[in-house]
Amino acid sequence: MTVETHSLIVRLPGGADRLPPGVLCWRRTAASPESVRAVARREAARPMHPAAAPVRRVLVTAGDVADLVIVADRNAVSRSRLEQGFEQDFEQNLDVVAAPWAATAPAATAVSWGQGVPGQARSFETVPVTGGEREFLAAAALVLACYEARDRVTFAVVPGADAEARLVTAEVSGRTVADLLAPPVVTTAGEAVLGVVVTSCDGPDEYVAHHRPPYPVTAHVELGGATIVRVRWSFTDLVHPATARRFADQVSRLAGRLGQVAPDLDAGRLDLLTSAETAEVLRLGDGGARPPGEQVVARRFREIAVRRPGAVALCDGTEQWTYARLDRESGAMAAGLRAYGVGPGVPVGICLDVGAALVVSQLAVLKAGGTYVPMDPGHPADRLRYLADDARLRLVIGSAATFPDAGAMTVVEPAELGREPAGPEPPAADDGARAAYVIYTSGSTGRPKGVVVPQRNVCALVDAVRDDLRLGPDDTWTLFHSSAFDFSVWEIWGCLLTGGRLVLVPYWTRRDSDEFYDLLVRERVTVLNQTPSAFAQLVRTDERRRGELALRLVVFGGEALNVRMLAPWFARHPSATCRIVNMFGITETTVHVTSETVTPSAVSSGSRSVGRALPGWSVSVRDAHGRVLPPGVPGEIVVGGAGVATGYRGRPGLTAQRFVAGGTTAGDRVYRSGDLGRLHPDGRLDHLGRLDHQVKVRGHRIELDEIRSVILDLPGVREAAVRFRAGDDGDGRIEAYAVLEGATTEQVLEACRRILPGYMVPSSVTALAGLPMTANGKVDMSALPDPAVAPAPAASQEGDDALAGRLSAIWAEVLKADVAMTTNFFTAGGTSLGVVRVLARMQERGLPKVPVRQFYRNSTLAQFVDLVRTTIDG
Amino acid sequence: MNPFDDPDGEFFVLINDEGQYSLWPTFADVPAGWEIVHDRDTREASLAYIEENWTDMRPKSLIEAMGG
Amino acid sequence: MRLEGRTVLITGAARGIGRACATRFAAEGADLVLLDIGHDLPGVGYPLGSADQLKQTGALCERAGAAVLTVLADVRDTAAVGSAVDTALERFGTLDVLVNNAGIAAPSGKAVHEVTEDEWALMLDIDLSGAWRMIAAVAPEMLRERRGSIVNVASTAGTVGYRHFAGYVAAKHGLIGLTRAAALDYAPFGVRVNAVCPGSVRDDPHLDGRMLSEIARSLDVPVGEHEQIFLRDQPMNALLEAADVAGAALWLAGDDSRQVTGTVTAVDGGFGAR
Repeated sequence: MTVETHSLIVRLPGGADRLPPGVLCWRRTAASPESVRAVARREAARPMHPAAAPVRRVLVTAGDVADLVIVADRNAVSRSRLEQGFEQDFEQNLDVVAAPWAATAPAATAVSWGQGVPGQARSFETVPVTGGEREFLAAAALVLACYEARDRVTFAVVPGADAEARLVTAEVSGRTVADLLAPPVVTTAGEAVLGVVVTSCDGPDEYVAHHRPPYPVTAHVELGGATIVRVRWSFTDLVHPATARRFADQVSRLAGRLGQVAPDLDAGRLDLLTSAETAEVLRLGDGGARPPGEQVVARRFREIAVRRPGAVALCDGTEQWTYARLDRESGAMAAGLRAYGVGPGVPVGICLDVGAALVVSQLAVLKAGGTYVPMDPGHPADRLRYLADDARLRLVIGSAATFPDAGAMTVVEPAELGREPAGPEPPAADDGARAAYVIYTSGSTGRPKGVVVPQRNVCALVDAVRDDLRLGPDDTWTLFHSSAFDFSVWEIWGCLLTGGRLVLVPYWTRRDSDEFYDLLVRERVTVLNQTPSAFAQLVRTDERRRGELALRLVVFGGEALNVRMLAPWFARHPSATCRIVNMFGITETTVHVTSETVTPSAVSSGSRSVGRALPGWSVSVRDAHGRVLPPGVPGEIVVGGAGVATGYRGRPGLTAQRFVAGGTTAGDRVYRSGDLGRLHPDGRLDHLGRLDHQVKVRGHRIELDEIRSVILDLPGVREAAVRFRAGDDGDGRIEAYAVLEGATTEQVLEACRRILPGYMVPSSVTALAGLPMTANGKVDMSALPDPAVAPAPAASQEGDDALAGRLSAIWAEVLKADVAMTTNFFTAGGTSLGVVRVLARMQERGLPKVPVRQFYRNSTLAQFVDLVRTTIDG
Repeated sequence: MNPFDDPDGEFFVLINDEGQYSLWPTFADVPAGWEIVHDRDTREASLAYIEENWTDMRPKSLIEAMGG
Repeated sequence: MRLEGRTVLITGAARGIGRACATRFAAEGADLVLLDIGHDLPGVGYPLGSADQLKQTGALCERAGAAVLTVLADVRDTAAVGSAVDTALERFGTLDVLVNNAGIAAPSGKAVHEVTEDEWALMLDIDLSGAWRMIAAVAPEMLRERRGSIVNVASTAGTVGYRHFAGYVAAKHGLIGLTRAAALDYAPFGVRVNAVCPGSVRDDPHLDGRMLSEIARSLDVPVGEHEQIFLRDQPMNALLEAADVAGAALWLAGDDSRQVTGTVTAVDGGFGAR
């Protein structure tokens, strides 16, 4: 429906008098002879109405200067006919025109790297480029390949004003400059983000090949002989204006370079950005200076305890600890620790569940100058032993009865430590550089690795967000997450170092959405930290319960956020009263890196932004050679600044390859995250996934290769592969496959349970005769069959009454597998999230409410049916 | 394939004032504040050098502050 | 330059408010299509805008840097209106704004039952149906482009009554109704329709204005003293200038009123607030 126009402006020598008589055209006077061309250009750019097609002529005059503007339908009138623009009967003359460009080289309708702003298209000229058409095409291919993160790109070329548009492909990886300068290969399949239109110009006449940009990015190259006289760029609003400018400049610069460098140079060596541009992009991703402040955690805490001794710090069920009490008890415990030989730099394990003792212990270890190593009492013994050994622990605060025996190591109950008379506390050492904690994360080589984080990083984290999030003594936080998950570091110190009140959430309350909701209401919690998948449950509970929440801030961390799940939340809780903040973070850079406030408009746009770097942190996106990439181009997220940890405990080689030289200050290091992302022109970061086999399940970081290593380690297993099937809401199933030589799948599963934490145990182990391979000799993950489902034992049970049938149907839906009366929910792959789903479905279908802890105690289907029956009858 | 992970690549080993080591691909410019402490070698050999020499992973300034 | 790159069609552009709008819009970067009947009508008791006056408006706009197309057309003539719009599209390729300003103030001055069939029809045909015809002619293009602004110049007589002025009052009231209905028809397409209601606008000789004296005549107000008399009803103690109306029309034509449609903007010096 839109007429695609091209135009020719002809300077009439001798002025308007030279126009042959009888030529019909519109007339217009310009203010002065000097302004005639400018007015003519505006007339050339005017749209053409379909009813007025195919040609319009406008004569622009001033004094004795005259420009004749001829605008025509590009698909009806060829360029060469435009020259003969004086003729009247365009309709009657048969003109041979090329097919419309869209027919032979269709335009793409989206630009993955564009980050465009609706309504903000851009057109501009770039300075004459040294080099000719070949250099320009090669440069355009290189830049496009970089932005699209591909080795081979397809774009459109119109090699002359009346030529047909063609799609071409160019291969850029492993090519020399000479290879790139060869003509690109014509293809027929695909669509083009970029179109290059090449025309020749001569003299003072101006030809514009298109007025509406035919491609999201169009370069109209005008040649004078063999050299490029001018390039006119048009970017539609699919491309951000700043990116448009950068793209055009980069092509120009590269085209010039290609003409100067040796032809056998590896094209991959050419830098996309100048050092000035690189510096500019680094500035974009820089969160700014780290706010100054106290760098030692214990001293920070002491400042608050002294200022507000009577304020409540901890709340554990019905018992409360004021700041004064917490200070006193942790001081007493610190003295006790010193008696055990804990001093500067000494690591101390803390194997306690969420509770007051946990927090007191952590603070006590820090006061004694030590480093705490959090351990989850729910982890298998093998893992706890491994941690104790790797961290060289001599002392663990925990339960002597249940902590596994581990050589020359003492396990001491928290209560025992407080018995020492406190005595004068030695002054806390000056050094924020000292390690505060070591938290272990999944390791791809088979065993977890410990991330050593200094005290000043923790303080920097709190300082970075305190003012923006307005954290203070009026806030009530929850401690919800295991101390082995670094989200808890934020919950504890974010609260206690800003004077807030920390509510310790009991074990069963964490697993029961209704109980947790009650707690939030009862304790008037104002600051809630959750993984998105846990919050999704809360949103549903909130819709059902519609209670009076005091929440003013919800912080997401641990896994990617699907913003659309917030729609029902925003309906009940305006973002002005309860602020939602999404934070991207990594354990190796101290919990959080970036922060973004999520508003209702983000829900409709489906934004993947995780926000800007925190003050003191910096982010950049790098290519495979470590070079900085401009906004829009995906690459590896590299983090620098105040959050970079000391390294991996006892792994110098691994540390040296992940924490590498770089950063704004000389001698600094940056951390290569292995996460895929890209920057926005405004410095915000989009998180796009992983570069490897790490996955997130309900916030837990899992290296699939760690699970694979554990399986491969077993005698009787020849090969193994582990795959992750994402489910809804951040949940998913870990499916293991093994080629067995003596072992059974039950034994494999048993071993996993013994060594791995619960969230890493595969939902299924399927035996295969061999693993499917790709042509490259790698396991073809997509060719793995569906996991074997344990055949349901013969259904000869009494369970054909209606209740058993209904419950069995619900279990089957949630487990996505057949069930029998002997099926155990958890060994069949069910998770704590699955429990909540079962209970929710029961409620929806009119079945009674069953407390979560009862489910855990009756976790085979037969037991569960009995439990529900008793509840109904009783 | 990230150059740091390339098993066939060529590397320096760098060290900074804090005695921290970094693997470094030979084609990249050495950043300010770092110097080469082990000349170009295979990845395996470079990592072996680091494993052998970086015994105390605390930053030097911290070691001094803690009295050695 | 609030109308940079926009194409505006103004009816009744030869003089008065029409000329004021045209020159103001040209100064704001618009290109103009200027439409006027260009000759007198037998049923109307005073001279209407002439072809020379239309040309003069065009010249003033060109001097301000605008591209101008002038067209003589009677808004009672559907074919002429269609042809005018076609020519405009041929020249400019698109139309962004329509200002329905063409209107007559006489024949008036009689009580309702004294108005003849022809007098009633003439008044409605120009002041109400003329606007309707213009909208119908430009709407297809605006809807196609999903963008456009239509400004109907009504009057305080569109919201209150005046004695011996029934035809004008009815037509202007109707014009406001048309504004609201059209606004709802076109809102989903991004095309806006609004009305301006000028009060007593001074006849500026530079604009060849004469409407106020004709209205005075219709209302039995002695011409010559009419400015003084009308002034008494103006809380701001001044008559309006045509430029004031042009300013309001400018706001409605441009992007600053992006979310404004179906509204009535009084430019009346406080007349309607009493």
